[in-house]
Amino acid sequence: MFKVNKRRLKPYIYLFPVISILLFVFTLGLGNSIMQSLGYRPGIGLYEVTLDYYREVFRSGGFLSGLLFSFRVSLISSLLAAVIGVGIAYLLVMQKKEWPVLQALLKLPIIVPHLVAAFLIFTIFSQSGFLARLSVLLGFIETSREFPPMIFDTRGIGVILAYLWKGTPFIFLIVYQLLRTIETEMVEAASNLGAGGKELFFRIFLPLSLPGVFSAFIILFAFSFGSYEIPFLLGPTVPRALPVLAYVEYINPDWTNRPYAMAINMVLAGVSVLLVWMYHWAFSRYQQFRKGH
Amino acid sequence: MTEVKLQNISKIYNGEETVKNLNLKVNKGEMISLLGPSGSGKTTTLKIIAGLVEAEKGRIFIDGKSVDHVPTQKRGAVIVFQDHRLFPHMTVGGNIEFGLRMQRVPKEIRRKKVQEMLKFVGLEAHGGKFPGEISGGQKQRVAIARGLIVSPKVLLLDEPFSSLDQRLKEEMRSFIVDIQRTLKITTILVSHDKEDALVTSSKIGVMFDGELIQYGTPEELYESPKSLEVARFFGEINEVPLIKTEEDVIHTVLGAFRKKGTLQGFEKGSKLLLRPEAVTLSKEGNDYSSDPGIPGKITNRIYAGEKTYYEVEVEGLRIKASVLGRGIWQVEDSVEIRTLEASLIVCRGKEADNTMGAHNEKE
Repeated sequence: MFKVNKRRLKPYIYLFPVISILLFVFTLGLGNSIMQSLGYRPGIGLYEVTLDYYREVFRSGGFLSGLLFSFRVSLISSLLAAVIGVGIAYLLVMQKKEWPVLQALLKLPIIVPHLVAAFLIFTIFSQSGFLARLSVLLGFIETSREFPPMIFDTRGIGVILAYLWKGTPFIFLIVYQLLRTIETEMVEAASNLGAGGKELFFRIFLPLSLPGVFSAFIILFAFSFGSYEIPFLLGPTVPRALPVLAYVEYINPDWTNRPYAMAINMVLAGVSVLLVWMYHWAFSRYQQFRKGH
Repeated sequence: MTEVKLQNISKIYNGEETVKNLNLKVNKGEMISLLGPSGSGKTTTLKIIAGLVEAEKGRIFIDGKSVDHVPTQKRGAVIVFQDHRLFPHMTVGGNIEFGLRMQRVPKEIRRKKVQEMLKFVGLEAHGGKFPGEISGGQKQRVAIARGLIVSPKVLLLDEPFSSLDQRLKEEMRSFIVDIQRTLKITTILVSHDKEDALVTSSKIGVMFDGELIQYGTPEELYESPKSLEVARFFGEINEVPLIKTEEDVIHTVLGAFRKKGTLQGFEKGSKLLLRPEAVTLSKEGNDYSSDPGIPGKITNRIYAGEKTYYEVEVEGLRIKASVLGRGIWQVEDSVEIRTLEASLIVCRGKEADNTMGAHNEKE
């Protein structure tokens, strides 16, 4: 008989009610999606398991341009959020004062829902928005139609702006806390050895906070890559962002279209898994750094 | 070689004066210690010298030049921190190289110097490792090497031995003394452990509550402490109760002493102190000595390997004594206590409370 280590089992037993529900919902949903993406849906007479839907999805122009659009928009918005977030965090951490009101203002967009963010971006940046009217008022342009289209445009500027507005404070929040611990411990050591502001940033702050920044970047990227409301509200009709494409296929009255939506979802899920793995990799490296203190 | 001078330095933290009007001079190539309990302002003093903390008042001179407005980067006073503060994302070699990079030293020379330094601190095999992969003692060496490589004018060591076990501590002490003697760098060490200071330094400054109470050679501090606090800080001490003082004779529980030699400075307000090792014990009735000896009884014996500590009851008072090795006396033995006038310490100053029948205070 093998010996069961009761102590090791304890947390699992305690958490069983929660874990069982989570696993049930997750595996059922995922399993169902996988089966549907493979064309198996007995309820509407689809019995044949096939990769045809994937093949068709991959071949369709809408999918590839959507994938590219989602990737580009997520990458640009997350990268910019990382750069700006790190910049603000560094500038604030180097101040002697804490600036609590400014910090609170900087964190505000985190609690604002994405739908509200979309609305704000629309009211400011659309051709009938605040900036367009202001430009007319100041005489930069004659009519608001001349204002460069940023909403519903194929470059996805509005989408990028919305993600940027939501994402920058998130990066700031993580990096600021991280930099503060580095500040007290490492800045004295480095500056005592001759490091000036530029060297402190590039040789100490940036490399030490990079794993944290990377983790935050991955979270932002994964979210914007997989979420649907911002590109649905602010993005172009062509190309459609991948989550929007999946949504449109999903609500198609023709139920036989459902496997296409599921195949797209699986691609999104696959990318997410890859990102989670990258996140863990970054996090373990970060832990290694911390251990070295 | 560099001379360091601190003139009337004061520092206030959160409304509290943590360094009070401190004056200190460290001669060229000298190694001194700032000794004191935690919170006595010694690390703050070190950071003020390094330029990491700004003093509210006072001036600092390095080689006769004021450095009050010279930033830490350019001051040449390098600090080795208690918690090492090695850069975790750089290898051991990278850490050591850091200061040279900041000085824009060409790569070839940097590499060569790092190799030399690694060899100097006995870490040739560890240059490629990360700080997380080496031991506490090795981290300490890296931190010292990282400071030494920039050829600092002044080396500041903040509690360099506090995180090490006894064996490593002894090894590191002689390592630092060797380095200091070889390179002749003016060095200031901060410690709360009197042994660190006694073993390594040619001068010691004792700090309490932000104040430099006494600054002198180890012998001066041990044998002629200016205050009771300093005397106690350097180890167990008997505070010898006085019976009465006359013009040229001091009458104590341990006998009468003429005011000559070390006792010449005895005046009203002074206190007589005696280290346990200056108390000799002999068999009762031993008449080899012309000194009559004071009868007492052993009430406690603690064997501590190198030494054995005794407590002897003399006229209702407990006198501490210590003998080298395993002492022959046991509890309840009757002994005679003798002491040499030369080993009596006269303690003057505000702490030297000279009341009749003052009792020994336990540490």
